[in-house]
Amino acid sequence: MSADRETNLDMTHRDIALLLAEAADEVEIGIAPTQSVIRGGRRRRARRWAVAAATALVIAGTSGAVAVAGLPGGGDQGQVATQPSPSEERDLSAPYRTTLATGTDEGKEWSVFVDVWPTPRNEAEADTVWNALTEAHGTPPDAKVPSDLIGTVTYFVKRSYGGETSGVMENRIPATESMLGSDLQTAAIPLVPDTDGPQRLVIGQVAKTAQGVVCEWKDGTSTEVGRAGKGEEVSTDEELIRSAEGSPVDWFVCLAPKDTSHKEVLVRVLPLPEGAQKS
Amino acid sequence: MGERTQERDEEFQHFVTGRWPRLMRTAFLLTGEQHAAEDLVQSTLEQVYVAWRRVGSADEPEAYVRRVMINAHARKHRRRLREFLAPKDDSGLVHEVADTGDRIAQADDRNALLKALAQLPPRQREAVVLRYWEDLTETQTAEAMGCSVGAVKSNAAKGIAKLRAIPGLAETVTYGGRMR
Repeated sequence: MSADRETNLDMTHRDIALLLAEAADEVEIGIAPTQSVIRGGRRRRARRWAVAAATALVIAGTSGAVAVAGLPGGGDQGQVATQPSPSEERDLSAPYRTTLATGTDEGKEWSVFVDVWPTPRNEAEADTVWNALTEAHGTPPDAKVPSDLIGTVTYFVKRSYGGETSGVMENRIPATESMLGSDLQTAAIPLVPDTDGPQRLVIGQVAKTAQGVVCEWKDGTSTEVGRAGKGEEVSTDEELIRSAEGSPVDWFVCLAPKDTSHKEVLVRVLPLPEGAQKS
Repeated sequence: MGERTQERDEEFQHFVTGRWPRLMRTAFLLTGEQHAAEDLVQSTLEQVYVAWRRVGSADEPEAYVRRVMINAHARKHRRRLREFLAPKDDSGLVHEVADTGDRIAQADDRNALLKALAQLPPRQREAVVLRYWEDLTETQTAEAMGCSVGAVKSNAAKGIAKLRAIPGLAETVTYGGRMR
């Protein structure tokens, strides 16, 4: 055995540990950026969209990556008795249902709606919401016990096509969570269930102050989505940014033209018109 | 919710403040670069924050944190491979060492190990750092890496063998170069 070889073998595990410890000391530790970490964590939590049919999905956000997970089952696990709007006497046994968009495509009616569950404020309310929610949808996202629901909003987005309804997104976010400025989350999925594409249906979340979005399609065309005027009621056949009862963020839905063979969807937030006031 | 959230946030802040130095050192050994280490730790802790309600009450939150960090490190490496379209051969010991051995031997002794670590395939680097810097058992290392104990043994052995094969590094130890 050569001297070199012996030298190499002399490098024991303890030596390696020593070397690693000293090399690790080279890093500048600095002050832990706790506030920045918490802000980042909150942004991540807000983006935890669980989306069905992840293989046929394009999901995007204004920054960072988006956690995507398969939605177990995929189908609608039960019909939910919905309530029209929040009231003084809160009904915690049903979600607020808001239709985000409707239309007809190749003779088949489609719609997208979101069920937003009321926010429990204490253990007793959490039990009520948990029981109703689990009966309707199964286990809520990222929650193991009823108390996990306290102070949070759980929502389920569903797509109905030709009479068949399936869940496409679900999430649970703090009731105090809000999107700001040009914050944006979008997911593009096929309009037709159980297909791999094209991803014509874009469902997105924006801040309540966002004035509009533009969905750009691969063929170079685009669809602008604005807001309805104050107090104006606009048919859900018209693509608009809409508020959903109980939701801390606003929603929009865009459908690409049927002859568009896009591979990705780009969405940008329109700047506020000069001199415009944020609502 | 406000009070509960605030309490959890405070717990999390204490956790971050207490673990930050150690995590930075581990991340530095994994990435070999200051900014990459900061990014890795920050990104890891952001993910931990999302699950803090569950993780914070666990017996050993550190195990979860390690798992997240190793996953994030592995993901980043996979992205790089795709970006550069230059997959590394895990068995490329001779090739990797032969290309850089001379430079490492001449390098500053502290940097020698970092450079040597950087030459290791990521799974070997992770196994070496967790076993010999974090001082984890093979079982704990396997949990952090999401693989079998056998894979840990294999990766750690290969990694250490490669480090041993670098003359500059071995000399540093043998002649007390590390002892200031």
